Amino acid sequence: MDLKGILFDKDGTLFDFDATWGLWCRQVLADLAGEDAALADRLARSIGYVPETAQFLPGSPVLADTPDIIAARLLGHLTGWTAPTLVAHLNTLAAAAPQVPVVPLAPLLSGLRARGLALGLATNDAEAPARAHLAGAGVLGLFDRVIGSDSGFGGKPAPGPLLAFASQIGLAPAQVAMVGDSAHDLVAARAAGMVAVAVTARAHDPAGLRALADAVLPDIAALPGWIDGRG
Amino acid sequence: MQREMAETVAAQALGWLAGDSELLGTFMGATGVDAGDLRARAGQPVFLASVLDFLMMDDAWVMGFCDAVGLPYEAPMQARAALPGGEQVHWT
Repeated sequence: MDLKGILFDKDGTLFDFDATWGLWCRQVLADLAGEDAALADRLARSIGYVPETAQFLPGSPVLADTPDIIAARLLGHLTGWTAPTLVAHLNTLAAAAPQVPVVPLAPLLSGLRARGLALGLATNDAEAPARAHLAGAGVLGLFDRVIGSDSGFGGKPAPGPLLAFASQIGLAPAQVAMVGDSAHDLVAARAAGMVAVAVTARAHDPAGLRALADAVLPDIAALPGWIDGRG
Repeated sequence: MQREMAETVAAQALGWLAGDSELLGTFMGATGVDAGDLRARAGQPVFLASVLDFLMMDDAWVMGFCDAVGLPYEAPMQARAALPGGEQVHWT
């Protein structure tokens, strides 16, 4: 069946998680450690960040935990900070952190729209920050729908947010490709009856993604070629 | 637990399993599904029930999954009871 719509996941799919939060992390370290390189290194390791490779380790609290937990890890190496002041500082830097796109988004998304495809975002982040992230990247206007976990359709891996996009746009689920970097995106796509597309270049463990996907691409830059190749 | 919520918990469990290729391999070996079955059946309640059956074989998996998604440890069992074939373990 011809594709009529593309539904994107946000973190890790449109925006590079390691690059976005690595930028934030380096700013936090520079603020807290100043010129003390040894302290910066201890702080980085305490929150599972590897400066040499600019990556987060799988158990890093930055991946899944709240700012309180990140602050508690850092506080063990710091003097002059309290938990509330440090949490407030971390949050201020996080709110200002620019999202680093995986590839330049505007040309890619415009090219997809030029093929007659409807575009949507389905994220487990809340809708307001998701819209802010897209606006910050200058591409909010290219999306027909932005659906967050608080938009009233549930969250992935349940198919609710995906089915909401299809019905709002007036498409059958099978006419939509769900593109994501996590198993939850692909399980949701399968449950919704959409085409499940995995982007795996940044995945820590891509084998499970491959098992669940109809198509496996390195990243979203490969989407136009894949779509054109479907004929 | 309601059926829809149960399916969501089971889908989360499948997502968690698939995030670990070694564990996914163990699951596929234990249940005899191949990649084609996995793709074809990932959204089906009977299949999702089998994911929970597998998860509940090891308490460490139950805890690992529940910790990862922020669910209480009894959620997989309650979800299993609300899915097809789960009636006989509906103790509550």
